Formats: sequence, structure tokens, C-alpha cells
Amino acid sequence: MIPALALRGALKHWKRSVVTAGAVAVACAVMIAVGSLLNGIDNSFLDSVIPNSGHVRIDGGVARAAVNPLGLRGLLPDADGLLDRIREIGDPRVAAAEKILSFGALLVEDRGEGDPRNLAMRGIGVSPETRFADNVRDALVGGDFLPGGRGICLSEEAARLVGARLGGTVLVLVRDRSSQPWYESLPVTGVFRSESRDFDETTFYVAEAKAAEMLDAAGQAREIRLLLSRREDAEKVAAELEKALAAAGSGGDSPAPRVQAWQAANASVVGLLVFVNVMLGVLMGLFAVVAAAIIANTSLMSVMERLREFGTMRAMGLRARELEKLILAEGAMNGLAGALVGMLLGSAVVALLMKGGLDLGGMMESLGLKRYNRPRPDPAWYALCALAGVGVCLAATARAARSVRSRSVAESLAAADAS
Amino acid sequence: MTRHRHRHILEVQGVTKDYQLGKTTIHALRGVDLAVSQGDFVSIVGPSGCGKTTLLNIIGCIDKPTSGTVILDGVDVSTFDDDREADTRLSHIGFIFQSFNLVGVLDARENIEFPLILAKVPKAERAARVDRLVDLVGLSEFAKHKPDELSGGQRQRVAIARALVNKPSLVIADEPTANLDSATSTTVMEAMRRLNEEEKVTFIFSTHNELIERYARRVLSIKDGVITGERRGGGGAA
Repeated sequence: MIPALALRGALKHWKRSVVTAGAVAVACAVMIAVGSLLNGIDNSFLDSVIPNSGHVRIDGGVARAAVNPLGLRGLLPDADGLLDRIREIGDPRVAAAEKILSFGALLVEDRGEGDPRNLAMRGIGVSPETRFADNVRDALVGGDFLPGGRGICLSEEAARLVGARLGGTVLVLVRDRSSQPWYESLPVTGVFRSESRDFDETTFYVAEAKAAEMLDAAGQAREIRLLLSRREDAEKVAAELEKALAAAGSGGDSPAPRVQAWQAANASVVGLLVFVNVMLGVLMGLFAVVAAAIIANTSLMSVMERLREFGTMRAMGLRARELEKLILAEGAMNGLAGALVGMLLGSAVVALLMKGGLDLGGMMESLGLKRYNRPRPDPAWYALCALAGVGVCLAATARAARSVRSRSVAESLAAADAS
Repeated sequence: MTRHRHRHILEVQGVTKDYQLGKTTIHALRGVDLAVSQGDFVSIVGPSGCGKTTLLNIIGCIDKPTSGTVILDGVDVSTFDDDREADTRLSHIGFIFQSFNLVGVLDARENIEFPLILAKVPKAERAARVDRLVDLVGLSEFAKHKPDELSGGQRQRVAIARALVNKPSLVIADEPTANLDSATSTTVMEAMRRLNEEEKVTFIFSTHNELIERYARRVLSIKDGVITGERRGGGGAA
């Protein structure tokens, strides 16, 4: 009887039901869309950026602090030795360990006449089978990623700027460790187009062996990157590794290598993400509070204008507790309807954002994140938002129900009938 | 629960009711004694604000007396908690209100059926009882109409049927004809009178309309919260 009466009550007072359900729907949709977007940004950072830049990094400790972070003074002098030691330790949590040799270079149009176009870029020397360039492999639009360790892989945009094309050549000009210029004509074996214009215009890849040859830095590396089976182990692995490497001695007079987990290596980005999460969390909280206030007000109005009807029901023999249940059931129905509409609305917004991605501006790129961010829908989050919508609606209605229950039957019957 | 000797269906003994209005105490009832027998048709008359509705509310377990006792069917109901009051209203008392007080989301038939659902009467029995009462108050054609599709007289007949559906010991009607024209008032009073005679239902109703008083067998006058007199009504000769 109570559900049927509640449904009829909600339908008869449909305008108030629409306002209540509407408030739940909007709050739910906003929370779903914003939450999914946050999830997308976090996911892009944790599952895309972090694996490609390594869960744990080992470097000389001075590279980042140097005026020129691509200068060759901060290289790890015995990268091969370090790699060997890491392999000897044989930590089962480490899935892959690789040398990375990044350097500054000038790409120059290779046509041997006139005034060639050039572009200052960051070269990254990696193993052709590297586990740290999935983002580039996935973004290839032509050729292969350093097939057989040959050639150069650069972006479509960089190729356009220096007049190169797939199958053609480009001159790579560097200063080696003794500051002598070195240039070499490399065939363009792969062309990629990522979602980040900043990355595309600044980064190219060559085989690590070729980079070491050009820079006269055999056996050295800018850093060693470790890929772990679980990113959650990063801080523990980094601490243990740092201790183990220090105990083994880094050799010679060079300082002990610095071992950093991804959280420390990307502290500014992690901090920014925490800030964004908190800010958007506060925004979602505010939405929930505003929605709760609207729902509470509407529910109270709705029951107050039906006081006499409720008083009549109690005069007929309906117990106060049953009346409370009736009012709560009506609130739950409005909340459920709102939550369902909110889920549909939120899903539509998420689907729309997933199509084109949301442009969060160049600041994101400068932090190594994607400029265009796509939300990542999470069924658990959807369910939580829907539950929160129904819960807020129930809590707001409970206040109205308590207010009705606290009145005597005579008081309720004496109320003006607005229904 | 105290069992009393079952001479009367209702005994009101020394009932007072005070309301606090700011710092002022309003004495709505100042010691009312009243006894009503099974099958009585009692009218309580008096000017507005004399305490008629307060007395009926206390008799009907809708309000609590400040002091005194109300014995219904031999049980002192004046000390009941909310739930027991609700159960007493459900099983012993039928209400007819001045402004009908039908549940707007239910049609005429469902309004009549509502107390039966609360009393958990089986569906088949509910249907039979409602059918009989719908016929009895002459609303067969309007059973599926919502309250706002019915005239005042029809609504009050629905309320009468609803008041009777649980076979109460006592039906309380607070100015049942106040919102009706004289012709409809007569129809409603005739219906109540007929049910009193045929079904032996006890009625207590309040009015300040002298024309309505004549239907009662007993007429109790109330003034300033005190019963000031009793006389035989025109209904006594019927």
C-alpha cells in the first residue's frame, strides 16, 4: 500500500517531484561527468605517462638541477654497470630496466643547398625494443619504430617543419661530450602523430647505440628507467634499490646515483593532480549541498501543503511510523528517478567528451600531460553517484517526514489544505 | 489497560483541555462529563469556539485531554500512546469531517477501502464491504471518481462510507454539513440517520445549525468548555 500511495503522491504533485528529481539528476550528472573526467586525467597520467617515463628512475642527480638539463655533464658514467647490478639483484617486481640517453640536437633539412630549415629538439636514445615508448608506437602514422635500430622516428609536424618525409633523410646535429659538433644524415624510418603538439614539436627518437655513438658516450645514459609490475611498489623498490646501489658503490669519484619513484620524479604533476582533484571534489560537494538544499526545501513544501491529507490518513488509523515511511518512499522514488535521469545525462556528457576530448590547454602539455583529456567512465563511480543522489534525497525527505511526524493529528487536521 | 463496566459505549469523565498561547492559558474544556450508549444519535451544539471540536477530537483519540478520562468500549483510551491511539481510531472510530478530508490521490472507492487496507482486511472481504457501502450511500456510479470530480454532497457521502467501513463502535462527525447547502445537508443527515437506525451505528456529531439538530435524539449544549444542558432532539420522535 505504501509504495502505491507514494507513487500516486509523487505523480499527483508532479511539479514538485520534477524539481526534486531534477535537482538529483543535475547533481548526479555533474558528479558523473566531472568524476569521469578526473578519472580520465588520473588514468592518462598513471597508465600512460608514468609507464612511458618509468615507475622508477635512476639518474646522476644533477641533470634536473642543471641550467641545461640536456647537457652531457649529468650523464650516468657507468650506466651499463648499474644495469648489470640491477639485473643481479633480480627484484621480481621489476619488469624491465633500460638505459635512456636523451640529448639536445638540431634537426636540419637534408638537401645540401640554399638555406636549410632547422629545428632545435630533444633526442631520445632508446633500445629499438624499448618498453618506454608505447605512446609513440601507438601514435605511428607511417613506417616503424626504429626498425633494426636504424634511422630516426619523429613526428609528422617535426618532419614538416624540417622538410623531411618518411623514407627521406634528415640531418641530426649534436655536440658530443668533448663539445665537438657531430652531424649525421639519418633516414626517417617512422613518423608519429601524438595528441600533444608540444611533444610532437620537441621530441624525436633514435636508437640508443646511435645516440651514444654520436655523443661519444658509450656505456653512459641520462637515466635508467624501471618498469614495475605494480606501480604501487615504486617507492618501496626505489628505496631498496638506492640502498643496494649505495652499498655496492657507484665506482670511481662520481656521486652515487639518485633513485626516484615516479611520485618524487613527478612531484609537481602529482601535486597539481591532487590540487585539481581536491578543487573538483569541493565543486562536486558544493553541487551536492545546493542540490540537497533544493531537495530539502521542495520536500518540506510538498509535505507541508499536504499536512491535512496526512492528518486524515492518521485519523483513519495510519501509524506515525507508517506515514514517515510513506513520505520517505515518495522521496526515494523521486531520488531514484532523478538518479536514473542523472546517470543517462551524465553518460551522454561523458560520451560527448570521449569523442573529442576536453581541451585543458597547453599548461597540461607543459606538465607532460595530454592537452586533450578524455573522461574514463567507471561503473562503480556511476553507481556511487546514483546512490549519493538517492541518499541525499532520502536524507532531505527524512527531515520533512520527521517534521510531519512531530505534529499531532489534531494539528495536522487543522492545517490549511493547499493540495 | 483498565476494563470498565460496559454500560455505555463512551464515558467522558471530568475532561479538561488547556492550550498554551504564549503566556496565556486557554481553557478549551473545563470538566466535561458525558455518557453515550450504543446506537445513540447525539448532537453537540454550541457557538464557534465553545469547545465542540476539541471535545470530539479527544473522544476520537485525535487529541489528548489535559485531565480526565475517556472510556471507549470499556477501555480508558486517554493514556494511550500514539500507536495505540492509531489502532483505536482504526478499529473503533469512524470520522466524518466538515471539509470531507478525502485523500486526493485515491478515488471514491479507494478512499472507502483505505481503512480496510490499514486494518489488513483480506482483499475479497474488502471488496464486498466497499461494494455494500458504495450502494448504501448511493455512489455506485461515482466509485471511480477522484474527490475533485465529486460534488460536496457526494464527497461527504464517500466520507460517511469510509467512516463506517471498519464497522466502528462510534462515528464522530464534526460539523458534517457546514460546507454543504441545505438540500445536500438534508440528504447527508438522512443518510447518517438511516445508517444509525439500520446499522445501529452510534453517531456523535457537532453542529451550530438548528435545522440539523432536529435529526438527533439527544442534543447536548456546550458553552465555554462546559456542557450546559441536554434535551431530546427531533430525532427522538422519529
